[in-house]
Amino acid sequence: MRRALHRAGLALLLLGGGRLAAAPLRVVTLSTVLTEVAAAVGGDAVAVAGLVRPGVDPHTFNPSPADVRAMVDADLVLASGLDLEGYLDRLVAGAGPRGRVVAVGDRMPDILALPRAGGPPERDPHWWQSIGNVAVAAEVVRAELTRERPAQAPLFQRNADTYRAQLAGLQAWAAAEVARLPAGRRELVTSHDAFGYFARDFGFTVHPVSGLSTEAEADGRHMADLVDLIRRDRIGAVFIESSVNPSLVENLVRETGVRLGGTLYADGLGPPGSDADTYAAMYRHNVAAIVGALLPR
Amino acid sequence: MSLHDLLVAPFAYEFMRRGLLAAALLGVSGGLLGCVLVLRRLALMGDALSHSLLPGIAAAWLLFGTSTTALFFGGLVAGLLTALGSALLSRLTRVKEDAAFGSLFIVFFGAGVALISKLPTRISLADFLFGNVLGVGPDGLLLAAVVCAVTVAAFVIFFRSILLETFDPVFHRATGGRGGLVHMAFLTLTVLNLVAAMQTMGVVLSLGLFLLPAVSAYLWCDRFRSMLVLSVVLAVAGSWVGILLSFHAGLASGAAVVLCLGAVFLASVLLSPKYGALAALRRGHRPRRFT
Repeated sequence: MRRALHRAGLALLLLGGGRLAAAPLRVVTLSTVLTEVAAAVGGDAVAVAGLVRPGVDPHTFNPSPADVRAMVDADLVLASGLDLEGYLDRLVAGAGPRGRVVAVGDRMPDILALPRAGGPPERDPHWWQSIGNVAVAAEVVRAELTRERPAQAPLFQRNADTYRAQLAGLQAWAAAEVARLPAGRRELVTSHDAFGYFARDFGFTVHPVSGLSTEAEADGRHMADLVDLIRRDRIGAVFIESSVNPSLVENLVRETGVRLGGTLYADGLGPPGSDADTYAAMYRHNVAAIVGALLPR
Repeated sequence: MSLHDLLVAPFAYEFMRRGLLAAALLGVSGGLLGCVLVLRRLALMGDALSHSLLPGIAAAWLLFGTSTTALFFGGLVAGLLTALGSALLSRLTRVKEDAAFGSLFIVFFGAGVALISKLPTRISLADFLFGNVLGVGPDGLLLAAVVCAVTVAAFVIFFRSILLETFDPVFHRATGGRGGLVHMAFLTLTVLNLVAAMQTMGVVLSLGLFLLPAVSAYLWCDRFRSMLVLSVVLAVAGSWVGILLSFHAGLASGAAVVLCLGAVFLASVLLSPKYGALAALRRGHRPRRFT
């Protein structure tokens, strides 16, 4: 009897141990887009927690103590990078996370940089506005997950291939949509400078009301220049963003009579149940709003 | 650049006209209220108040979403609770009004931060309440006009009570004045003005308009009436020059107005013939000791 119990205990221990080894990899992300990428590539082998929740402005996000603990305990932390998370370096130095901290944006090819008076150029952190960059992000995430769990490499590879195939479909759709717009109408007036990568991919010129961060403030001269530009180039529509106060763009509308083209998702996915709760849905929403509003009629 | 280009051409734009008008209207009431705040040693009230609005904004967002009207009233309720609560505490306990205000506002601010961390989404709510002088719409302009009219009317009708309550509250009470009521009404008016100003023009510009013109005028005037007039003139002139500076130099608009008002303040501190630093040095006076 005692031996039987002993054996049962041993078996339980082994089972438990086995389950420990197969416990999902804990991945923490600081970007709604990366939350989706990590879940898609990792599948059942990872448990993803997104600290920057959908609808949150990542420019002003501040991690709570619980967020910091989640980052410290994670097996892998995925950040947007390109200086979007200004607190990251201090956090890594101070709290000493157990897992690797990967600034995914820093791995992108062809990072856009804006010249800045009296300093190094400012890197545009909104890399996810290019579908190609998200495909790169999927590859970065695949490599990082494989490094942590080499045994699951085939699964990660399969999932990444599937996800990238979906992105290719999205890219083809977006290119066909934008192709309906004559080149002369590809002008994008938005709340802040978040669509640089989108503009590069599809031949747009961006005219933001404020700078790369939603925190930058506009000045009178710049607003006046935008009014003149909208009138001179007969720009078809201007756009507001989901996480920025629309009052400045609304004043452009009042002043020039230009149409309000709708709300764009600049800084990540929308909340669940919105029409932008996946990356593809967000991108489709933006492209449909832009093309729909700027088409000559 | 001709004088026309410098002073008139920028206001060919509607948004510039609306912004200037809103700043001037709230500059009038800010200039008036600021004088009383400075004389009653409540100069830091605006700064404290801007923080105390947070739980009201968060609660309004929770109930009504990003409706500007809801956010305005949410902020207004939180601001009134802070201001009137601290006035009440200072009368019922031995805590002075500035300490009561400082304590209440930080409690409100903490409550706001805690509430926001529990909200299902964390967009920057303050960004939706606090406006920009270049983003003033017809609604904002109407709000500024109403608030300004109410303030000016209150100063005209209740000038004697305000004067007495500001300089000699004890005498005011002794002669049958209802000091507590006047003070509460004054605080309500100030909160209404500050919330309206922050919503139409942003925090920086509002705090500047409600303090710098008054404290500059304080350095030049000996009579309450002339201090009020000079303060209003400085507030309106500073708004006008600052908005032009923002236009020509490409500076953030709220900051440009505050820098203009700040230059006036610095000049007053140095050059005021009676109360300025240079005059004091020339007279061979050592700086007055703090007592």
